[in-house]
Formats: sequence, structure tokens, C-alpha cells
Amino acid sequence: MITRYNSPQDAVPHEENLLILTKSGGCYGQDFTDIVQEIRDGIHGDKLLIQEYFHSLDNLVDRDKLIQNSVWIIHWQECLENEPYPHLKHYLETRSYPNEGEIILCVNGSDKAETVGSRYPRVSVAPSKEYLVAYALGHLNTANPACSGGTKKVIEWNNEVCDELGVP
Amino acid sequence: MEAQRTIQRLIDHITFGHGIHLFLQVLLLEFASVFLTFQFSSSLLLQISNPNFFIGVYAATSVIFLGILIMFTAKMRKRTFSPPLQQVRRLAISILGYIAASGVVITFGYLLLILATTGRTGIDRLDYVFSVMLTTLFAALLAVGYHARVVDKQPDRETITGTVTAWQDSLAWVNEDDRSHAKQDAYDEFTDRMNDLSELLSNAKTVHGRQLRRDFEAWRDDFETHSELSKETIIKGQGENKNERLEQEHQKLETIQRRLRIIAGEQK
Repeated sequence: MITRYNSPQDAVPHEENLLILTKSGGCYGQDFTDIVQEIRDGIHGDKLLIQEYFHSLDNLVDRDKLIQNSVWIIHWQECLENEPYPHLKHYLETRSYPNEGEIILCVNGSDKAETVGSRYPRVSVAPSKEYLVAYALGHLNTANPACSGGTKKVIEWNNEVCDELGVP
Repeated sequence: MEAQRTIQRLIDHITFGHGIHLFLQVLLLEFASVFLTFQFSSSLLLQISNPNFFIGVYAATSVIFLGILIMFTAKMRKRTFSPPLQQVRRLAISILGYIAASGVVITFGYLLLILATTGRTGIDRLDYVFSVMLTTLFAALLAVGYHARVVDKQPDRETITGTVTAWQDSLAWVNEDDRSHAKQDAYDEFTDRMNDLSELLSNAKTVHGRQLRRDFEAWRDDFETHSELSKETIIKGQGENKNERLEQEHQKLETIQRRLRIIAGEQK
């Protein structure tokens, strides 16, 4: 289970999980696995590793698993547009995710993205793959032990999750 | 290299990973004993007043030696870490290997000598049955010799099955509630059982056993670099959408588990 980081050494190397909520496994005409590879290729240094984590849409009630991912990538059309998953909508509306995390909604089409952006002002809305990669890298290259101050951010995120889960 | 590994895998059927030296040592001693008998005996032909009775005695004794051979060979393979050696078919190969090796000694050291000195007319059914008895005796001697080594240097069956079962059971830490203390305890238990299994597999001496140890250690090295969530994903497996990297590690885990289940006798 997730363990608390007590010193900067504990956070190096650090593996981050990218939560991907999707039915089809892709967006913008590409598999999420390929998009994550592009993100992976853009990460500075070798102290941060990332893994995509496909959580089952049938088990969104399991928030304890979701919050262990610092980046949430959500396919808006598949998971939010018609509000098929009330738990997910609730998490976003009540900001029930770690403060240090990054939420990215993948929306096909710029016009639609603007509408979604006004509805969810506190999260990033990516109208294209390039935006998605840029948003993800913006977070991952900030909360990255290879960057100045990045280790502190990683420790803060990790320990915030530990606090949430009651890990001593 | 591959040919060498194939030969080594075949030799494992006899040596169970404990080197060819004992095998050669025993075979040479058997040759020596047969030749010495020839040297100091006036005739190698058996001269017995009641041959039919002794044919029965030798045949029965052969069956006893064969039973000893089967028993010790069957026990030895259960203490190796080679999944293929657990198969009954492989047990048959091991037994035939021992019999063939001893048969060569008897054929060249005894039967051919008789034929060379007396001609075909001098040898009869009693000599053949006696040869069979000597063959099974020498084969059993070889098996007992290797069994002694296996007993000395390999963990016992209970330790093997107990360690494998405990490790497999400890994988259930992933099912504990994230917020519970039980999860931390179960994870610590899993870590301990992982160390136990690693130590157990360090005893592997056969080709397949050493391969299993290497696969397990490589899998473990990769596994330990991951976050806890990725570790859970590797153990549990994934649904329709998959992280291919973690899926590969999950499949490696499954092949390791399958081999360990065979070794522990939980799966054929």
C-alpha cells in the first residue's frame, strides 16, 4: 500500500500513476497508451516514472484507489457528457481529489471544450491531444524530483494521499 | 549454448542438479566391481543346482530394487525446483536413465565378458535374470547416492510447499481495504514471504529451477520499482483497457505462479 515519504530520498525514484477513465481506451483518434507514451517521452530526467492506470468505470465508488493517481485523464464524452457516472460528477464538483493533483478532461472539438471549460472551471480541458500532453507534462515536470522544488511537491502529494487514507 | 542447455536438462533427469561426478564415480565403481569379480572368479557362469528357484529369487529381488529405485527417484524430483521433473513422464525418463546407465555396465562388464569367454551356448536364462537383478541393484545404488545429496543440500518437501503456499496466500494483500491497518500488515507479510521464497529458490540447482529463480528475481526487481497502485495492478490484472507494461509483468507473475504451483504439487 502507499507509504509515507519521510525524506527526499524516499521520493527518488518516484512512480506516478495517471488515472484514465474511458470506455473506448482512446481519444482524439489515438489510444491512451500511445498518448501516455508521448507524455512519458516528455518527462525531464529519470527520477519520475509514470504508468497509466485504467480504473473500471463500474467501480468509481472506490475513491481510495482514484486518489492515489496524481493526474486524472477523463474522456468527457464517454464519462461525463450525459452524466452516466454520478460519483465521478460528484468528485469533480466537490473537488474530491488531492489538492496537488491535476484533472484533465479530454473533449473532442474546440467549441465543446469551451462549453465544458465554463462548466468545470477548476480543471483543465484539453480540446486536442497536444493540449492533453502539454497539461500532463506541465504537472509532471513540476512535481518531478528531477526539478528544483519538484521533490517537495511529490512529497506533499504523496503524504496528502497518505493523510486521506490514514496511513501512519 | 542451446545444445549445452538441452544436454544439461537431460542430465538433470539423473543428477537432479547435483553434478555428474557422483554418477561417473558410481558407474566406474560398478565397472571395477564387475571386472574384479571376473578377475578373481574361475567362471562367471552361475552354477546352481536349482536354477528355476533362483530365477524366481533374482526376479523378485529385481522387483524390490526397482521399487527402491522408483521410490527414491520419485522423492528426489519432489525436492527440485524444476516443474518438468514433477511430471510422471519425466520420472519414467529418470528411471530409464538409471537403468540404462547400469545396463551398460552390466552389458559390457558382465554379459559380453561371459559371451567372450564361453560363447553363446554358455549363457542361459539364469544369467540374464541375474544380469537384470544386478542392473536394478546398480541403478538403485545410483538413485540412493543422489538422494543422499538431495537430502543434504535441498530443502525438504514441507518447506518447499509451505513457503510457496505462504507466498501465494500473501498476494491477497491487494484485496484488503486501503484504509485498514490490515492492509499494511498484509503487505508487510507479503514482503517477508517474498524474501522467504527468494531464499528458497536460491537452492535451485537444475536448469529449469535456476531459470525459475532468475525469472522470479527479475520480476521482483521490476515489481519493487513500482508504486503501490501499480503493484496491485500487476497482481490483480486488468480489465478491458490495459497498461501493456504492467500487463506483461502480470503475465510473468502468472507463469511464475503456475510453475510454483506445479512444484508445490497443486497443479499438474
